[in-house]
Amino acid sequence: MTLFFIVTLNGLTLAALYFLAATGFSLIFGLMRTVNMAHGALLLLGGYVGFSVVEATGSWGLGVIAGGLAAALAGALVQFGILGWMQGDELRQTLASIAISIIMADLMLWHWGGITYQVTLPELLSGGQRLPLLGVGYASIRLALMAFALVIGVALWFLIQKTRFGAVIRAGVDDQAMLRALGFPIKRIFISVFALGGMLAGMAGVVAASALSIAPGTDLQFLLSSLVVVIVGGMGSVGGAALGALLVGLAEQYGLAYAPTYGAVFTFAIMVLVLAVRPQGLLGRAEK
Amino acid sequence: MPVNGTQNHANALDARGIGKRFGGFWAVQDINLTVRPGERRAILGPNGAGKTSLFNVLTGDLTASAGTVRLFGQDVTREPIHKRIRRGLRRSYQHAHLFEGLTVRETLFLAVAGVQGSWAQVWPLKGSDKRLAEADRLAEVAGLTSFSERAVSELSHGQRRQLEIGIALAENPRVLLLDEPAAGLSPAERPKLSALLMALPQEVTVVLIEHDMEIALQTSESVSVLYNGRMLAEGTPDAIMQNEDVHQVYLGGGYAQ
Repeated sequence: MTLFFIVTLNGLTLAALYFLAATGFSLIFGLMRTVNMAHGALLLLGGYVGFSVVEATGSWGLGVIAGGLAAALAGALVQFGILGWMQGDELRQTLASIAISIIMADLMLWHWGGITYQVTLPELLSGGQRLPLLGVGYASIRLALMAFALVIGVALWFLIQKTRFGAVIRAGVDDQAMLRALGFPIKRIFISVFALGGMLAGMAGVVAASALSIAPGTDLQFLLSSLVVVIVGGMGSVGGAALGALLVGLAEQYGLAYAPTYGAVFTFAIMVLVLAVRPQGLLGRAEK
Repeated sequence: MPVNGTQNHANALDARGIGKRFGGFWAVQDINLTVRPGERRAILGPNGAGKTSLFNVLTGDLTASAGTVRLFGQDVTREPIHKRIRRGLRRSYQHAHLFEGLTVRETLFLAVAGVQGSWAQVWPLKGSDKRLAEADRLAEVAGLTSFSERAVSELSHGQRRQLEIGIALAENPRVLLLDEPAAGLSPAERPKLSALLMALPQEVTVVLIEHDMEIALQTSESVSVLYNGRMLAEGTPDAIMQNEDVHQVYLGGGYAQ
């Protein structure tokens, strides 16, 4: 039973991380129809910058903020300087974002080298906690990660469902042309949402570098997981990203624990099943 | 053409030599269109005549390949749509473009906020706010007060068309471009829309594309007829009804009987 609890907690940890990574990706796709293949690179950039800031200042919180801001800025630049010029031409954007992703990965390799980094944890998060009901001990940072994902998820839900800016985003997801016709400066809104998506990815990068570790290749790993999560959960919705992340994270960990040989199969079996039965994703809306 | 400032008050809309090319195909070519402030103008023409392309150039949805567009004397040919909106231009689309996931109230709120150019606000939508009050007023004008908390996806076709008019009326519009506002309406719903159009404030300039001759002639004082991307005829509804060319290409010769 202890194994089951531990594996479940591992699954939830991974789900929290996948959610943080995928939700920005999903938001960007939902509003702009841009499949941003540089999303993993934004996450890795956030992780590296976060690591460097934590090393320099000793403050973990500052590192998370700096990582988020760096990736937000990079995301805004990518949309402003490159992808925004080909708005509406999704294939071109996707290809361009692959190129951006490769260039960014190379620049990061140049600056931070090919070694693996792990962010030094603050004292508060470095130990473990004995969980009262389950009777198992678990790393504090991983518990904090789940709480962090929960807070971010609720904040995003509030932003999108309850605020003025959220109404603009929801309207844009429904119909970009009409949003433009109402007088909204769509280019600036796109850049802001790209920055928001980048910020989420960057913070996820710092958190990933704290709970796990980051190295060249982490970008592609999280890009792939984000793609799977939004395909399963449905593009463009916070709830979809959460559900997709839960399913994929848990499936991956249960698979690794109980059927190690076929561990990776479960994730992709879920994806294939969803694509076959409900191609818009579990919580996605069908295209008209 | 006058060179002094009086030009500013001369025409609500003044399009000169408008052309729009898609690849090697000119959807519209060499169109001149002048609409006075407060005028009600209908644009007629068979399918493919270029009516919607002309609209898209006037609103800024598409950039003109040739010619100039002036709004109240100001050259807006190169301006994006959101800047023309601030000058008082509004449009509706032929196929209802509405936000399915939003409520009527949220939609009208966005219509007001869009004209004012405010969007980067992360505080809650609820609460006492001038824009929400304006949204409620628009719902009343559009006859949708009792539906304001409904999701747009739950509205009937006629109500959606009413909502579009409500959106177009946000924040004192000066020129309304309506692309087939009555398209797809049942005969029972049409009079309601006609009444809504005729109740618009007199100072608002209205240009509408309309296939329904009855609505077009009832609500408009002048008519422009497009054919094959060019202007075929312009005049009062009566003059257009008598026009030989118009009968030939559009009315098929038999309409006036």
